[in-house]
Formats: sequence, structure tokens, C-alpha cells
Amino acid sequence: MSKLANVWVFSSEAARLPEVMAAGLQLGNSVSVFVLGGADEVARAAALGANKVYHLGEKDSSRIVEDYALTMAKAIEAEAQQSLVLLPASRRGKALAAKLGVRLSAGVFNDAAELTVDGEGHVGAKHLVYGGLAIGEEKITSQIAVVTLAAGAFKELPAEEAGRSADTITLEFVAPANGIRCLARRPKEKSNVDLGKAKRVIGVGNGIGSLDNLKLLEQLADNVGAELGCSRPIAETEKWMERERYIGVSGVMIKPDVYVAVGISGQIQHMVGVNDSQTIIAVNKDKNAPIFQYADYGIVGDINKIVPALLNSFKG
Amino acid sequence: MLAAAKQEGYDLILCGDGSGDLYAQQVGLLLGELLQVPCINGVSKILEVADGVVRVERELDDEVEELELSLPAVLAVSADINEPQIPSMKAILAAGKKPVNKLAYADLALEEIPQLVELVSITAPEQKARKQIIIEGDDDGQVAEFVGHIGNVLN
Repeated sequence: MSKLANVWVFSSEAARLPEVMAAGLQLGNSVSVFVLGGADEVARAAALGANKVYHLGEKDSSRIVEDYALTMAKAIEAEAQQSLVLLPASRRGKALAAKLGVRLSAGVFNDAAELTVDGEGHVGAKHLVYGGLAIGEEKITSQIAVVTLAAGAFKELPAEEAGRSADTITLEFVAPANGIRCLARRPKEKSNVDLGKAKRVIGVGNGIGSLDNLKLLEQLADNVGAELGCSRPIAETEKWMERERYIGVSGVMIKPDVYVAVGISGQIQHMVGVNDSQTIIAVNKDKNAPIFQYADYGIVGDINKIVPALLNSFKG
Repeated sequence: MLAAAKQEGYDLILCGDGSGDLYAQQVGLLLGELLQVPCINGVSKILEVADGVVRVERELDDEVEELELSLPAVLAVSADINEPQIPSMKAILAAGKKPVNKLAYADLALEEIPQLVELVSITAPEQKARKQIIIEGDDDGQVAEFVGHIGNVLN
């Protein structure tokens, strides 16, 4: 695969920086990283392999991350060469991507799961379309490409090597003409689950019928060292579980060793999120439920009978 | 939309999160940027529209921002902003009588649209081959057989 001379990287979420860096290092001969934060963050970008760090300054609570779009665009324009700007596929990343796209006359691509560079230096990218039914591939033909990267797209994360240094350029803030005022911000209750990293996941659907069964499944998950996930209705309609546990095309995409679907019918929007599981196990009362077409092992029967039996068999 | 908005005038343009088919999540944001007005995505609540500003809540992964945008503005709202009402028969009939202003390309002063991205292909994802060992029935013997199968992977 060809490489670009330089790739720009920015992540407002510290936790996502390593994977965006991984993509940058793979696609570019050199990587320039925008850093919003203090000396520690600058050092971390260098430790992750940045060749150049463009420092946006310390975080400023009166600004939102998107306010830095012009500052970034100015730095990118100054280099005036074929390049790629990589951001994580978060809401902030997507808003920034659009702002950079317009400013730089660049093609924008969101939620990229795969990225390549062809012989002409054009970026090719793939993501899911039609609610996960298909994979869409596009080629970005503009001089600069702006791409937001889906979580988990690049798994080989660069090691942090303390002591590595990078040229650091301090950028002067260019205020946006259409400033959006941030009146207040409040942290969201941090969910401590990261289903994307779990080795075993038990997925819960409407078919479990009762909160009592949910308790039993929590116990079962505990006994076999699994995390609990759910289908969309459980998180959004029943609100039995937090949104961070909802698996599917617009929720979390998981790749565990084992996925156990209990009372989940197997709609495509859900299955897209679990298709990469090594082994899929299904429990459902309806033998025609689509979940069984995707299962390695399945049992058709009464959830109220099977779940207690499973709990009895797997005591941890 | 850019040409139409410029021509017809507007105070606030509301867009969804992304279309159900390609889900590029760019139309609202790009429209706002091209109109050179304040625009933001992920709006989960519209708190107030008053005195030439709109105040909104924006839900992000780690925090909720309360933002004030001066009007005119473009907002892309998230799917959970409300529970859509199912229109009544009366509303459906009334809708038929509301004026619809149809715009043709020829009515708009369209600028040339640059081609920045080319569609290469749309393909079906590959399905993993599965073992498909399905036990039909939940008597003790059948459950035991099922446990026997999954015991290897879960223990």
C-alpha cells in the first residue's frame, strides 16, 4: 500500500488518540498531531510517535472543540500538499470534519472501518451503509481528505515511548466568525463498561420478558466472566440498561470470543454489531427467529426455564 | 438546500442526525458551514428560541454541553430528541391542504457542485460460516445437551 507524505491527527478524546495515531502511522510517512491541552498531552503525542506537534494551547472552558476548526485549517493549508486529516468518529470529530471539509474544500468520510491509500495518493475508505446491510467503499479525490475513524478499526496500537520528542509548533487561535457560545457543560455519568473490549458478552433482548430474568442473567454473566449487553429496545424503550450497553449498528460494535444472545430475535441492525464474534450462542422461544441463522449453538425453548438451568450449570 | 435557503430565507434549519441509507451525517453540518451560519450536531434538546438566539443541549460521549447559537442557525438533532407523535387522521387530512412550495433546479441559482468523493462500490458483507447446532426443545435432556455444547466455549 502507498503512503502519504503526511497525515494530520487530532482527537479531543484522549482515549481515542492511540488508535487514530495507529492509522496515521500506517498511512503516512510522517504524522502531525494537533494537541489541545498541556505539556503532558504534548509529550504523550510525541511518545505515541508524532513527528510534529501543533499545539492549540491549553483547554479553554469557554470554547468548544469545534471552535478550533479554523486554527487547524490554517495550519493544514500552510503545508499545501496532498494529505489526510484523521479524527475519531465521535460527534465532535464529525462536526470538526464537516467544518474542515468546507474550509479545505476536502472530501469528508465518516465512520471509516478500513482505509487505504492508492498510487495516486487518493484515500479509499469503507463503512457500513443501509443500516449495516452493506459495505460502501468511496474514493476521496480532493487534494485533502478528512476522515473520521470508527472505534476499533485499527487494533495494533502504537506503544507509548516516553522520551521521544517531536517538533512542537504553537498555533495562534483563529476565532471562528460564527462563534457558538458554550454556556455550561456537565460531565455525563461515566459508564464503566467497554463492551468493545470484552471477551465474553451476554446480549439481552425483549424476549427475556422480566426484570427477574435480567437479574439471573447478570448473575450468569458474573459467573462466566461476561459483560452484559442488550438490544436497542432494552436500552431505549424499556430503559433497563444504559445506552453504552446497546449493541448494534448505531450502538456498540463488539468482537468477543463468545456472544450469547438471550431473547434476541436477531434483526440485522443488531447482528451487524455482533457478526465478528468468534462463537455465537442463541436462546430464543421462537424457532424461526433470525438469530438461529447466525448461531453456532442454539436452543429453542422457554427462557424462564432455560436461564435458571444455565445458571445452575455455570456456577463460576 | 444551500441555494434554496439563500433564496427563500430562514431563521432556523433543523436536520436529522443522518439518513437511514448512507448515514453520512454530513448534510446538516455542511449546509450550515456553506451558509456560514452557526451550526452544530448532536442536539438532544432545544431549550429556548428567543431574542435572536437558540439555546440547546448537545449530548456527547463524555459530557453534555449547553450552547447558545445566534440565529439564523442550522441544527442537526439526535434521534432521541423526542418521541415522534403518530399523526391523527384529522392532521393527515389537514396536511393535504397545506401549501407545498415545489422548487425545481431551474428555480434556484445553483452553483457548481464540486465532486470530492467518488462511490467505488456497495457490497454485501461476508457472513461467517456458523456451526448451526440448534436444539429444539427445553426438557431437561435437551437443556443438558445444549449445556454440553456450550460448556466447552464458556468454561
